[in-house]
Amino acid sequence: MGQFEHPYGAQAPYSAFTLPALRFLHDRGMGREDLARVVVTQRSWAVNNPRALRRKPVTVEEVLDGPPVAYPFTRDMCCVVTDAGGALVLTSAERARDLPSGDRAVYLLGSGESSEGPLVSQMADPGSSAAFRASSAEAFRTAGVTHADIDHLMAYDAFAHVPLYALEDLGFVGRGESGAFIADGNTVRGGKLPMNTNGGGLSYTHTGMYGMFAIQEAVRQVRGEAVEQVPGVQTSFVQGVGMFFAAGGSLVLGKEPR
Amino acid sequence: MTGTAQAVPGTGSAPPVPIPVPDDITTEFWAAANAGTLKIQRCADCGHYQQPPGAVCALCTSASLAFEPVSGRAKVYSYTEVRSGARHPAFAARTPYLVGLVELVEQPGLLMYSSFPGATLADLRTGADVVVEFERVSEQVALPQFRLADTGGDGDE
Repeated sequence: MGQFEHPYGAQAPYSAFTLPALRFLHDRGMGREDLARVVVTQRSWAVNNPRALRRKPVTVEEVLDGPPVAYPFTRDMCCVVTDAGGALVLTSAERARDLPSGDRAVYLLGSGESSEGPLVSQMADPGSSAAFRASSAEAFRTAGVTHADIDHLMAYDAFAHVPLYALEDLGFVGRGESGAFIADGNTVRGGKLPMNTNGGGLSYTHTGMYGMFAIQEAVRQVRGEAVEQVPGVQTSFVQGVGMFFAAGGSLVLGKEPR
Repeated sequence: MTGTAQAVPGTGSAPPVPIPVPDDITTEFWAAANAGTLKIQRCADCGHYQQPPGAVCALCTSASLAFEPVSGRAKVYSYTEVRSGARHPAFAARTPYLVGLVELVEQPGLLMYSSFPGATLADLRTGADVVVEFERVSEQVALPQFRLADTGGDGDE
């Protein structure tokens, strides 16, 4: 498929993953400010996190005035590039009960995986990820929970448009409502759906494979051990993305077993 | 589909863009483009156009496919201007450069890539009318490109 994409310079993440963003905004009557607000809100979670790379509070204007990378994206709308590592230990609920740290166990309640075509030009609607929609629906179904049960969301954010897609495609908001949802403070402290509470790939870390860190933050939130702990998180939802919009993976994590 | 784009040594001073390497399925597309005609693969059974071409129709799985000339008219669908970080020498040399998607008028959602020759970022609008032209990148290959038409569009960016 590269023969139809690479000769035009649509090769790297910032010239391929970002390509549908302008259309996403256009179709919804949204603008670059909506991308900037994703950065501003997520930065607010990173300020106190010693492991986050970008910790200085920013304003919408500062984000918009930052160095352009690939229009409409400025530097801070693109994830950091870091070295980092992570690991998770997975075992049965029965076995976990007998472990010394069994009281800190977090339960995998449900999961889902899906895929769409390898080119953004081949998405049925480049303004919506079919992989996000299918993987998240499967995770909700296998977990037996609804959106109202979710206290906390981690949405993989290689670029600032991806959390906007996730909010809409996972069904937390309707089509075109993602920007206003963030602008109204729903994803920051005290909001009804705290999102990317480690600062996300935009502020915390991004090794090129960010999913591990999204899952770890969800585990910490459910355990009650996060740097920016959201009070009373019982259930967290984690949305991953792969090869631009070609793949989606979803997890529902909970404090109590099903 | 296994066809990949590979760089070949250029003849001029500017580094060459990756040159498409046609495969069994895409040979007719590139042969038509080389002759100055935009042909898109279409299903004889359900009428669906698809780009890139495939072995079967993505909509109905029919193998009755043929390449048909299209009007070459399209609308700007989405775009970006890369300002930094291009790793390929051709695009590093062209930075800042435009890349985007156009939607052919023949069918909603029928998208192709374009570099918008002659345009600047300020010229582009989502929904603006564009027409195909062909950029020769090797003796065998001419790339379909889309240039802004004289008329405006319905864009508002």
